[in-house]
Amino acid sequence: MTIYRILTKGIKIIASLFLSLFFILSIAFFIKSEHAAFPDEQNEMGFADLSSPTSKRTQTVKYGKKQQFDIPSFYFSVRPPHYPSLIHPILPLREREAFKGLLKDRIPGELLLTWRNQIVERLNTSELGQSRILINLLLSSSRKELEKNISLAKEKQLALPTITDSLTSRKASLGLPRFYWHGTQNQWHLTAKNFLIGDWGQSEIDGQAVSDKIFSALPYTMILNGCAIIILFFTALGMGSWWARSKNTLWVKLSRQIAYLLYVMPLFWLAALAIAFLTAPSGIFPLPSGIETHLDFSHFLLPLLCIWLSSFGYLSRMFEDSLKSEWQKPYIKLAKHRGLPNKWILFHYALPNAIIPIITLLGAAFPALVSGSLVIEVLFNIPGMGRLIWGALQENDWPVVFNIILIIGVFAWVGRWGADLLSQYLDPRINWIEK
Amino acid sequence: MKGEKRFLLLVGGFFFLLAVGAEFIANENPIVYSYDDNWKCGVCADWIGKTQKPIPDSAKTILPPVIGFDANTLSKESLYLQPPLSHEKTGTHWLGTDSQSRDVLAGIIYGTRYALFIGVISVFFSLIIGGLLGILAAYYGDTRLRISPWVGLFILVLIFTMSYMMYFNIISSVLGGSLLLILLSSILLLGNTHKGVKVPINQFVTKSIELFDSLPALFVLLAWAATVENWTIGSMSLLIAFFRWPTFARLIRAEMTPWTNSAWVKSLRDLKMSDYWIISSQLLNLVVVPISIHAAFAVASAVSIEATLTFLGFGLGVETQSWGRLLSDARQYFQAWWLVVFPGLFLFLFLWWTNEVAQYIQRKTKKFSP
Repeated sequence: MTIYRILTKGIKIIASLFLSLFFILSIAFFIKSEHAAFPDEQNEMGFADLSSPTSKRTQTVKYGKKQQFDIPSFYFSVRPPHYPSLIHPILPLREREAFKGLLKDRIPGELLLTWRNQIVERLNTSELGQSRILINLLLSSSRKELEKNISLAKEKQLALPTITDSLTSRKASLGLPRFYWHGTQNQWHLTAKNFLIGDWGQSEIDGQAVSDKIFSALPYTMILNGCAIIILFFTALGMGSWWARSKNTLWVKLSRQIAYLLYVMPLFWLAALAIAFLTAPSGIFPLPSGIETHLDFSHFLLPLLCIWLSSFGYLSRMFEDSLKSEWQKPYIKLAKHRGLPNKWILFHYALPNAIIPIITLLGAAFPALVSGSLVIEVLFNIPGMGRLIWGALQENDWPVVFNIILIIGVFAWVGRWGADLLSQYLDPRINWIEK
Repeated sequence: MKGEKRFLLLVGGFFFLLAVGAEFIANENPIVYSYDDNWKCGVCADWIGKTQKPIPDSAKTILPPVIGFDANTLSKESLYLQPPLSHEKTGTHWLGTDSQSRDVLAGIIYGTRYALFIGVISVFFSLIIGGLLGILAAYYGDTRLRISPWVGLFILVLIFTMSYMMYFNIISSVLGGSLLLILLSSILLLGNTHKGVKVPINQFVTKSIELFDSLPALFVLLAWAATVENWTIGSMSLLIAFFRWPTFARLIRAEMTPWTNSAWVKSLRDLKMSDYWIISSQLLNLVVVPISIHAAFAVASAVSIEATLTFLGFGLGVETQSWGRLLSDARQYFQAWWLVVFPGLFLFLFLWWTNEVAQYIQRKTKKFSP
């Protein structure tokens, strides 16, 4: 019986792991393909384009190939019948988008593809003035725009492929969609595989391995947030039990009100205020460090204080409520009637039961050990994970962003199941109800 | 207690007034000016969203606005990062200027509009998605929704064709999306038979809530926000709604489930009342209060999420003067304390007010349970 239960639980856990991995991978993958539009645009304004538009184009094609955008994005695709069987080799991405636009205007796909290939061939041998017009032809994204660009090219007496004229006049008919199977050589499969076997690639900025970057950032975040969580847990416990058991005196009211206001306050404002007033002018705390090597203990004090202040009120309130509802239960009354001292009842009866909801909350906070408080790290210049992902996002360093999101996703999953199992262990009633 | 209600209403009215009448409070142009002996309005066209005609130099100001600056007015004497109460020919910067020499107070006033808009719209969308899924999950559970396999097949084909047609622009995505939503919910409500296959819709909803829970929300939001250079407030609220709907779905499911299992609803069902009637005229009334409490909290969290994103540099565009944008200026110039204090104070006041409203409703309403 127990073996059966353990087995079903295990299957449940593994299934949930696969499902959440699939979901996080898909979301991260979607964001990645959205990100891909940027390097194209940047190249247009960057210094590389002072050379000819053709060489710029070759650069973006090279970038796209490096990012694996020339292979299908998923295991299969479903497309209207007039689409060509493969549109992924079309790079750069802007040209592919334009190509899709033409297809949406129902220009026959295979014909369009051969026409495009002929234009690209011509592009490689043409001069500067001509290549610009040819690239404009490739970038036209609707039938009207294409017609306009073709007439422009004819005005300039460019030799266009012979099929050009038949291109704009033909319209493909709608039909049943076609199904294409691409096999495992697709972007989704490869990115998932690479993440799972630990091949996380290299940073696009400095060529450093992503795993190195992450593992050098991890200790900072873990120390900061580990300390914060431990301190939070115990102070919230103390404060919550004090609030729950004392009468409504002025001090209780005041501390409750302050904790509530701190909870409402957005974390980044709290941190910004702390930096603006507690570091430079008054000099109570050191300024956020600019250089990573000069970090010492004193630099962690103010961030710790900010994290602690922002979550302290909420956690203590939660604990207070849970302890209060526990305190009114009959078994506590029985213990009182038996003459047990209040302290004994609190520590041996009420507290262990009241902690359980807090443990679920801490399970939710577990990924914070890895993700940390992004805002705090950015503001205080702590080179942890949040700071890493923030910097990577600003420079479009996709491999770093992608892998960090996935790692934190896995940690969130671990935290949730860990809290689930832990609370079942601490409170056998949950298991009993499930049965 | 009556005073508390009045106070909350007063603060809410203050925010509403700032949001709606921002153009009348902070503007470069006079509200009323006279030109050729005609009295004209200098801000009305701006207010209804048209471009204001330039006001001739010889015009005489009749009624000037309280603050003589627009949110995007650059200071004519290029007063960058000036402390509060610094003077200029055109007026006083009561709360100082930011790094682009714009008036902070005007920025705060216009920022109220963005905050209210983002809060309300994102909560609206997450309420629609989360509410629909939560109600379906709570009312039908895992066993009560039975659909004949043919209808199920039809639904799958319908979802596939509609998304296919929307993706390839055969119909527009707005039309297709709303059509799909209407068709699906009407089929689910009407196609319930006692013979069909059980549809575990509760499982489906709880599993998808769990999936969203496992996302590192702030990181994903940040990465997603970074894909677009300048977000408009509409798409930003949609983005926030996409990550916030599970909280609504969870709440509504949790509030409604005990009622759907109660003897009262069972008897209604035995009386052959339609599912649609039971949900819309009986069950929905019971969850309005918890939903509105949660919605007030959700407004606060949506505004705070947007401010955080913009503060970190990945949110709304430069030309939208949200509170987060003003504060993000302070990220670079911490010595300019007025950039930290005042916009943050307004943000804090707004969050505090929404929290207070939620708690007020919580205190004033009685909780029913079956």
